[in-house]
Amino acid sequence: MTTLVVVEPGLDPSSLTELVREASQRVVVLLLGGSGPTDVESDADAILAVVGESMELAEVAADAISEVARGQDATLVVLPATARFREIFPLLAYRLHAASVSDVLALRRVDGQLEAERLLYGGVAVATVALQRPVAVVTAPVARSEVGRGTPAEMVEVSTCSRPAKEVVSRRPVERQNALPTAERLVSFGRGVRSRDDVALIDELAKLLSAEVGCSRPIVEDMRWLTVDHQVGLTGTTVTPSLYVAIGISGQIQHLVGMRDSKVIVAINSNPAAPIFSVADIGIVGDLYEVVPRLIDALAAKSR
Amino acid sequence: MLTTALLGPKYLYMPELPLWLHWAIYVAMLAALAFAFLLMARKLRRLRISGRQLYGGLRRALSQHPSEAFAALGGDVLGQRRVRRDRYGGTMHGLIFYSFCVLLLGTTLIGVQHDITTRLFGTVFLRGDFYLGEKALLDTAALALITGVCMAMWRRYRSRPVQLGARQSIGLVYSSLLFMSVSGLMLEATRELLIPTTWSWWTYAGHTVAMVIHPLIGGHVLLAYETMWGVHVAAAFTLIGVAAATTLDHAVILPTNLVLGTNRTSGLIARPFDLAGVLEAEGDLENLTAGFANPAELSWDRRLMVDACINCGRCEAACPATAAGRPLSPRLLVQALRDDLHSGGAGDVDRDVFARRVLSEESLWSCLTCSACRQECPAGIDQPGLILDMRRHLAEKGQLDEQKAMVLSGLERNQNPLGLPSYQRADWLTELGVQSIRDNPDVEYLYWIGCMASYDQRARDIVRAMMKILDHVGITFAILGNEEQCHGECQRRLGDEAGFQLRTMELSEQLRGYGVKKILTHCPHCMNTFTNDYREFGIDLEVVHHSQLLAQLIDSKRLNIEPASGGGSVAYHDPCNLGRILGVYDAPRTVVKASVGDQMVEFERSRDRSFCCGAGGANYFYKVPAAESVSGMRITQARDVGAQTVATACPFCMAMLEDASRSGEAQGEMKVMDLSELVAGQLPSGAP
Amino acid sequence: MRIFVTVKHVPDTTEVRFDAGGGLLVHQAPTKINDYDRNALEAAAQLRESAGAEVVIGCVGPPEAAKTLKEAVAYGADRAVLVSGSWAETLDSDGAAQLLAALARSEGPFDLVLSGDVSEDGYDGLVPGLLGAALDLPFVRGVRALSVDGLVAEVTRVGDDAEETLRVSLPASLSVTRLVNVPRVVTTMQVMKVPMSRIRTVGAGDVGVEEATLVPDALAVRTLGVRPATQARSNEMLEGDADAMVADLVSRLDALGVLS
Repeated sequence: MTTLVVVEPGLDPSSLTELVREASQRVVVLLLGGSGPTDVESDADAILAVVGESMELAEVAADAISEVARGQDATLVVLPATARFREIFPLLAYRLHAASVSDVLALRRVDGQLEAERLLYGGVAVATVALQRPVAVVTAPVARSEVGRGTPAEMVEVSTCSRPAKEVVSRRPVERQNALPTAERLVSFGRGVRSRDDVALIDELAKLLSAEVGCSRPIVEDMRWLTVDHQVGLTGTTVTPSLYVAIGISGQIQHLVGMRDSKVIVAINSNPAAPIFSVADIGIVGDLYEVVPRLIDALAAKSR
Repeated sequence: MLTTALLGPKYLYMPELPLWLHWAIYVAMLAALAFAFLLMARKLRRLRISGRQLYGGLRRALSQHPSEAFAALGGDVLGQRRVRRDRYGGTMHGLIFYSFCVLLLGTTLIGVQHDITTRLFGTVFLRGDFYLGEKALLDTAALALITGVCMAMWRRYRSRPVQLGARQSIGLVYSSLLFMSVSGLMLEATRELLIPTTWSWWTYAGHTVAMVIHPLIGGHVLLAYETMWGVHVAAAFTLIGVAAATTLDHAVILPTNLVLGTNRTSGLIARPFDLAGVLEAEGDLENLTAGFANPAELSWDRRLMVDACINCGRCEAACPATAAGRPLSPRLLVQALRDDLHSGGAGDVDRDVFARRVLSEESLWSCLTCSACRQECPAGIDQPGLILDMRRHLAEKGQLDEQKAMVLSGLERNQNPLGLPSYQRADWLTELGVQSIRDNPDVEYLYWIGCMASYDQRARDIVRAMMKILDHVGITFAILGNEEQCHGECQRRLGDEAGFQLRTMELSEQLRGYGVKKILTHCPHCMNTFTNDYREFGIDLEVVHHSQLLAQLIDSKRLNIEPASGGGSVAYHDPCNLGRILGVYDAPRTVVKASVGDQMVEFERSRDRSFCCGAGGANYFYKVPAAESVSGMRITQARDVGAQTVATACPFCMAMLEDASRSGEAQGEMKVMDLSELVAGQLPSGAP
Repeated sequence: MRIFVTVKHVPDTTEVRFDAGGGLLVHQAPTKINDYDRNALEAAAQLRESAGAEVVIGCVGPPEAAKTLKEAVAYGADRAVLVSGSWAETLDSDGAAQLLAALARSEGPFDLVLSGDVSEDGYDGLVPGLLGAALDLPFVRGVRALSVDGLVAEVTRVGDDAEETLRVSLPASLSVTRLVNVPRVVTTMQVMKVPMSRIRTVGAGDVGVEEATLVPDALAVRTLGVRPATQARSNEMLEGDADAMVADLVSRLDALGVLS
């Protein structure tokens, strides 16, 4: 049972190799490269790489990966849950006629049958699914790593045939403002904050805590006060800080999913029935407009 | 004949009045009347109102709602009920109006005597002391009229209150009225000089004028008299013409509108279509439409209603949205619609009042539907109804922003405007052991918890307090539990009429299924919706507000509490829905008085003049740009009367005012408490 | 221009929960159009208004979905087709994509296939890409901006660390994010006025797919079971007035060592 773990330069395959360890006999890491170095740090059984400029097109990348997968007799292919690979994911699944699910939490074989665990309904439930095809393709979260460290990969030749009728006409690197994934402390707010001006209060608290500022989905998608790189949750960023302060966030499940793994969770909300309290270590039922200013004062006094 | 009717028999001392002049004056009078009639007809034509419609509407009002129609005529017209709400304006207008009526009556009496009673029966009733008294009264009326007009001119040209709008040819109106009254006094004066009497002091005003002008006239008394006679006749005819051509036509249009208004339901609850009926009959939904895009689309009687606006600005002065600097003035809104009607309306029917920049959408959403404007309007204009109909038009087109769309989707999916899970509605109550009506159908009341108390922490305190009291006096109640769903007041106020009507169908079926007859609620919005909105759908429920129940219990001595001492003054805030709209003012005061005794104080704007908390018209669920916060202003008003606590009878008022009390420099100094909390706090300790 | 928009009928996750006995109460939850599909519908409606495009909605779901499709059509579509059957409750992404592709072929040809990036129940994000691959159309995911000029679509999407603009020749399959537009508000009145005649319900066989391939045993992915997603936390609720609670909080955080 060979598993193919696919990454690109800058992504660390170790979380993926860990994920599949139990369900695989042999793990092969494939680096989907560009023109840069093809070194990968991994304890996998083999490290391969395919390069080529046209790999930036999802169809071509899917061709390449499927060819390698077939060549390696892989029964399971794991992709990182990043924007690029989410586009490749369904195209690859189609080419391999695979059973596919995204964002798996766990993988195992039960009586030879590959099973995966993943969230449903935005995080309310954990579903156990059976992947009933000879080949399975899944995605899972992955951390970043430094480029160019580790063992050089073995180059593999592929003959991709797709010539999709699309081209990238411009590419503007976006500042990786997303400090959320690596933040040590996070202060996050939701619809409990009533106006854009009041966000200054949150900023002040975050500054005192040396924390990053995050928010829930409505703040980005409905109110549009912050950009999506501040969004914590299922469709935003998953964070794992040592301190997460949720202010005026009801705790809709899509949000909880994104911060559940924080070490210490503090919730401030005026509604005692808010779901956020069920995942909080420390809960304060109160009006954030009364609590947060006092918290700011207390922290400021402490630092003096 | 008619000339004598104008001038009085004893005073027709025109020996040289040629016959042709007699007839000429008749013709001139008929011409003046015809002119006035034509002008009115032209106005009606411009508003596209036919005589038949007008006649039909008036007849309907008088035959189907006679008591309301006569109450309108008697109270608002003759009694100047709403005009009197403003002291200066009421006095000024009263002087003009009543004086004019008296003078008109006086002249009519003379005409009746000369042409009817003397001619037919030979009787003369204008004689003796009665006659002298009548003459004195007429003189007084003339002076009063002049005073009134001067007061009006002072206000308009000197003090210039900001809400007083311009009026068509108002200068001409003032001049004609003055002309009429002054020339009348002058005529009386010259007549006295011509034919001195022993009782001239009874006509003291004319007499005074006579003494003043005597030296100026010298020997030309007859000439002066004849001149003034002609002038006064001309003044009369001019006034008739002016009345029809200027804003003075309000004398006819306003009473007409007030009477026609009795045919209409208040715009806030009027049903534009009957969805249940159409669905049952499997009718065509395509033609279902609510609201209007252009004032030309209004029904004929509402076009007349819009035209009736005299730009007095009393609505604007009462409007809390205007006071807070929101982009809304009811006066400007109605005037904009009125101007649009008169300008021929929309030539381009595809564009509505918003696309044509006659009105802004923001002005509509700024409205709190508190109805203070409608209450003040002497012309009987239903501004909130017009606003709601335009909101309906916007909703039909889907022209709602995201905040409002979220409210509607929350209602649809989660049965509450906050979009919170329906299964969290009543768990907190079930945990406290409260029974559901399903298991307990034979209780005295169904306690309607409402969306605010279901989800808002502070509002839940009201329910907790009520539960304590109800247990104490032994009244049984049950709740709908998680099955309770919003009755849709905010949905209707946002303009989603179809959604609201679907909701009423569901709710009525649910309530009927449980055999519910009596509902207890602590929320005036819920009470208003069940009492008024749902009534048009044939849903007949007895709804009791908790202030009414508590007052009843206190009055019947079933609940005995001692008033609290200390703690500072408590000002009771009349919620718009409970007070102005449902007319409940005294019950809550009984409750507050019993709870805090002498510490109760009144806001300056209280009872039907109460100032909205800012949550009405679905405003609680969305934001409108404003210079100031409406609720903040109310808290300031509370401070102004020295209150330390505001007593509320509505969970929305409580939320808004508590919120406002926390911002600003004096944060947290004003307490906000619901009536039930005041009472519960006074229950004897050890009470269950 | 002919556009095919895929719409999924999903439960409102706010109302989905587990009961005391661990049973998943998903059937009691009200259903709605997947929010991401609303953005797709809006994009299609805008093209219909500006370029006179014909918009056909495709949906795979239970028979009740036909009513939700009224709302979808009210956004601005010509008609909707629902592929339904008893297999709908347990269908996976692969099966849905297969049916949608078959539907698109029978109702097609289309110049543009629009979908939302993910659906709110599963968040798989598979169907739009599978659909594109099955129809042999170039596929772009995560579209943030879209404009169509004749036979070329210009799309912008934000990748992991770059904003890319791509030119895609039509026909193509695109899936959009929630930031691509602000979906219009569709009111009850507008939904009610959509006649049911604009919505057609067909079976799997009508689009040439055998029902036998859609039963749980034959699917690519089959759900074996669900359980509540919970996590053990201390759940300590602080007490007292605001000042007291804040003081308590600060000292606890300090003790936990998360403040520095």
